[in-house]
Amino acid sequence: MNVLEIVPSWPPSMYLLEHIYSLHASAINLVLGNTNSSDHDITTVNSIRPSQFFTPVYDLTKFSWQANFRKLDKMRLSNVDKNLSYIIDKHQPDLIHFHSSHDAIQHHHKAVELSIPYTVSLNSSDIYLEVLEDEAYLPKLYEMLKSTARIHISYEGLASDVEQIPEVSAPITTIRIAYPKSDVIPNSDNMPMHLISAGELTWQNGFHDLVRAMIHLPNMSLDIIGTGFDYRHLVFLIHTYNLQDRVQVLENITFDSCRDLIGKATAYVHSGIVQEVSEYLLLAMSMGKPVFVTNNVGMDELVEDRNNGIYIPIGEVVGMAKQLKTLADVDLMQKIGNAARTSVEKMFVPQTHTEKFIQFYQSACHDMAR
Amino acid sequence: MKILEVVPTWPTTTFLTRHMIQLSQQLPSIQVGVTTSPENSMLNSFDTSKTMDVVPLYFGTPLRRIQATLLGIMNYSSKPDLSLREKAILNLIEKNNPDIVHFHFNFLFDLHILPFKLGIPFTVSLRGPEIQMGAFTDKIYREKLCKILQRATAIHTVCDALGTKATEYCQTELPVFTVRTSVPIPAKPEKTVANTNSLISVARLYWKKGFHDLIRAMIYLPNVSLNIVGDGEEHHHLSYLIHSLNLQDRVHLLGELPYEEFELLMRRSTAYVQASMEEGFSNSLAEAMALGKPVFVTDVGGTAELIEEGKNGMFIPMGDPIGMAKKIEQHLFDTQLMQQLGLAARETAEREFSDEKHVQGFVEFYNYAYQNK
Repeated sequence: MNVLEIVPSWPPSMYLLEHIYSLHASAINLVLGNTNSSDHDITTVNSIRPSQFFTPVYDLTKFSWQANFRKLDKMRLSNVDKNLSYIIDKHQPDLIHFHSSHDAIQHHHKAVELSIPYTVSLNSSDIYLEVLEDEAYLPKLYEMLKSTARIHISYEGLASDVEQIPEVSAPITTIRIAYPKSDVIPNSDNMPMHLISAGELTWQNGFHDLVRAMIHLPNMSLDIIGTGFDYRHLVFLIHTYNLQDRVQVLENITFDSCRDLIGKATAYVHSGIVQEVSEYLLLAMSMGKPVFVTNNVGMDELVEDRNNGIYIPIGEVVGMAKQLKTLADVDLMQKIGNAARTSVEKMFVPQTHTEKFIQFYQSACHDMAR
Repeated sequence: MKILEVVPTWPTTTFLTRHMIQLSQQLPSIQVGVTTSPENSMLNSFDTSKTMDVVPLYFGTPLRRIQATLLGIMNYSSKPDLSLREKAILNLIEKNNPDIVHFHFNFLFDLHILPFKLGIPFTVSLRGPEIQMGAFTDKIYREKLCKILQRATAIHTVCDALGTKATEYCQTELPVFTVRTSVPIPAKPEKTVANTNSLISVARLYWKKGFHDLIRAMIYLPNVSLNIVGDGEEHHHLSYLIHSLNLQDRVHLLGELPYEEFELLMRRSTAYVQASMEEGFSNSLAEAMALGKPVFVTDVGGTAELIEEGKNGMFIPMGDPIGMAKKIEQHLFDTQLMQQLGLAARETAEREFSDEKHVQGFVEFYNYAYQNK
């Protein structure tokens, strides 16, 4: 079975790399189409995740096909469909999978025209956020979903909202992301109460609430790892509330350094306003760190309050701080850290991810053949 | 005294156009230099109808006056080692030989080097952002800014707080003049019936304006509605908050509005709210006060220089949605108090934001620069 996967950018996010690698090692002949104009930089890929791959990254890229659709579009060389047609002609895929709803909306017509089944991955941003940016987005999404063979989501929680989309009859399949095992770094005795959080510095991640919560936690310190538009906002808050001795924003951190910093922290905090389960959260849990999380889409499938994590309220600074004070309970934190690690190991097994995705693709092809 | 005022674009912002029109009546020799590239500039095909959209009808002076004083952009082809903006400003200086060059925005401050090297005094305006965030997040920027401020013959600020901040950063006394921005002050404030319990807030949708706090405060004000006028990069965030907190029936993002619509909406609102985390002195706040609206404001930047708690406005706590809601709820429904605050706010606006005061302040500012060049 030839599957053409269209990824929104290269290098893609870590979980997509993991997905691509796990499927590449399977029986599926996977071809990648990249719709972003970014250059393919292997050194960057290496800096993101060097040791998680059993096979060197260049093996993966050597066998993949890349096409800069958007770049070509900008250069007005032709339309994007011409490029897609070329890839389809060359590789004769049995199925096209779009990892981003934007790409699916833009390119699914080509698949329909050639009677090639296509599938799409949807995330919470596709359902809840994109429409805020573009009012015309939802009708386009609905139109695209009408003729999709199957829809992939990573968390059950999204299913009910996707099911409500009118005239969409494609089966919805939940396949959790693949996450490899990490070395466990347990908290040591008498460790200072140091929190860590990571992600893109955008409002969606709610770091501004977390920084404000630190006002009420004078015995704790916090590192936020990430870059993004909210950097100045966070630095402003840190200075305004005189937190610079306890709270810092660390930019341009490599994945290895990030892992080291998470290992040295007492707990990880996920303060997202709308963000799904993040890869950094999974990393922290897989390292046996206790986690404090807001209850976003999919979180209740991963975290059970006071069992393998502790919930903090979204956007409620004082409530957040109150919950974070639980960090002082060393025994509870130890128990939560252990349970967190077990949960990730059970739920995000790469082999299960691969098997389910192959089944997903096969079912999509089978449905269309019928 | 010939003054060259440098602005980045034309048509420029409403308040700057107003400033130029008013000032040109007092100082006929004032000139406007626009530094945009010719491809982007509207100078070559100056479109008055478009400008009329930007500059509403409250201007008494015909726009021709400003049009006549525009100098345009000069020949770019010579002096190849200079940037486009540098060439533009240099040509303007060479051709018009001004006594003073004034830079209105910090992203034009780098151009000061040209009048400085030519021995022509230059002055700058500080409106807020250039001396606030940038200064303490970026040490290199702060050092550069201090160097420029120390070279300037005089510094204009829109409130005292910015002058204090500049002095603090540069650790030296600076020739700072506070000249407040003028706003339209209706001769006869109409008695428009205000909607019951309707708040209005106006600003660019930017994190500094604290709209995310104000929207969260609305959870605790179930009988109050809020209209937010303005657009910007926080639109998605605020839109998401409104929907996720189920406030869409009471909180509305209206985008940018023409002045007439904005004024009507302001008149119909019960009170104006400013939830900013950082400000110089907000033009919208001044406009609300001029329209006789009671104001609820955070005590940031230069706001407290003109707002006195319980006299002509109320303070709400910055970054504290629950505290904000409590304060608003406590006073908004007191009709008599709201009326008193509105009248007092209007008096303050008449005193502080008139065209006459603004022009007088700027004339004194330029006179000082001219005498101390």
